[in-house]
Amino acid sequence: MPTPYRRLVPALLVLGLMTGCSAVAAVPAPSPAPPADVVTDDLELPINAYRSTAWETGELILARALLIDDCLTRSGPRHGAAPDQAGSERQTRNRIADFGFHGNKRRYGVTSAEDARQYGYHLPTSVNGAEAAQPEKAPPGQAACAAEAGKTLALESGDAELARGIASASFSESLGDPRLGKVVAAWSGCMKAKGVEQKDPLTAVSAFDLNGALTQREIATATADVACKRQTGVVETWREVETEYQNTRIAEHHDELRTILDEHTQLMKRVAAVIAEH
Amino acid sequence: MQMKGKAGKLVRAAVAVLGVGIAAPIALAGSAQALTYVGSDAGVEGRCHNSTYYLCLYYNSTRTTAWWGTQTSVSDLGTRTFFAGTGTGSGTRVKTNAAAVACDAGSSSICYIFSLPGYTGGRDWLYGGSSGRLQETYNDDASVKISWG
Repeated sequence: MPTPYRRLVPALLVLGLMTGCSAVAAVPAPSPAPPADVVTDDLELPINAYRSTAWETGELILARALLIDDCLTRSGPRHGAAPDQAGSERQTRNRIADFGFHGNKRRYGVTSAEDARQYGYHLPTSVNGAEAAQPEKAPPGQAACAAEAGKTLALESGDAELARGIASASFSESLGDPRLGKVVAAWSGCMKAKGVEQKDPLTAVSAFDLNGALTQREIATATADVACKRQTGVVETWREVETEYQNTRIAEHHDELRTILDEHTQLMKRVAAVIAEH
Repeated sequence: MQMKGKAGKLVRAAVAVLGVGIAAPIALAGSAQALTYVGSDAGVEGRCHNSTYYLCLYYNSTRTTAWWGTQTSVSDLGTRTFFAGTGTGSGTRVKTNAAAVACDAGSSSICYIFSLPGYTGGRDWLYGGSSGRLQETYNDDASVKISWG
């Protein structure tokens, strides 16, 4: 957990426990931390501290699914399996493996040498078999129950618009920064020296069909891609440019972001309470 | 009036909320890079729900004209077209032309829509059983993923 968040959570938890939450349990449990073996390494950006982690989103999905299941089974037999914590955790781990703890894993394309060697440009779970398809259409009545679950959890948009806007705009801004242009040109030269014509690290993946089988050529290209990013400092420079931008915006919007953190903490307390009740 | 495509996306991303200008983009695949929840609890549009597809994309944001659906994740929408005979937009390429989405799956599943092929770029997402207007990927959709719960 990034430092600002870590500092704020205990104080906000105490405040939340004092004020309580009328929609769910009277004594909500604190938002659970992920188990120690969950891979939390991901591209660190300042705005991460103000956005849900993939683990928190997994908890939110589970709490919402449990409430929907309660609602659906009040009026008829259950369609499909009941949501369960083990299954939810498995899916959250899959999403973290594919997109990272903060959702930034593929922000600058593939950047993990280990992933490139094992999976090329494919999503890890599409290769290692972890993501098994469990086709199930939305059962009748799910929409009404989803609305009810949303009210119980006091869900708004699922994320804070300001934090989302900063995360989005910093990337757009970075594309016009000459420091990034310089390292991307160097990356392209490095790729060419390895026999791959590519101008853009974000679209290198486009040459491959990720719905098809993983090939040696894809692995070789992805491995060269990551090696060139390291050699030319693409990731470090890109992150530096975005960090500068985000820090400026965070300072400008300090009070609003503090409110976002507060609301997020309260939401995760409600989520934890729902899970604890089941 | 809504700007279309990547240029509009870049501008919207920069000015939304923050009110800032942006520098001229370098020759990279310019797309926003945020994860945005776009679902509503209005349920799944009827044609999608009555089909065998789990993720559907629509040519317009009201989900009343042309649509396209898939049962699996698609890493590049490049060759897909909106289904024939389903209204305005039929036969048009799905890639960079979708305005809305439905995720017809159980509540533990979620659907992602990406602005770049290969499950990269900006991401919209929504819960199973919900629909919504695309934001990060409005007219900028390039790949989709169903994450089963």
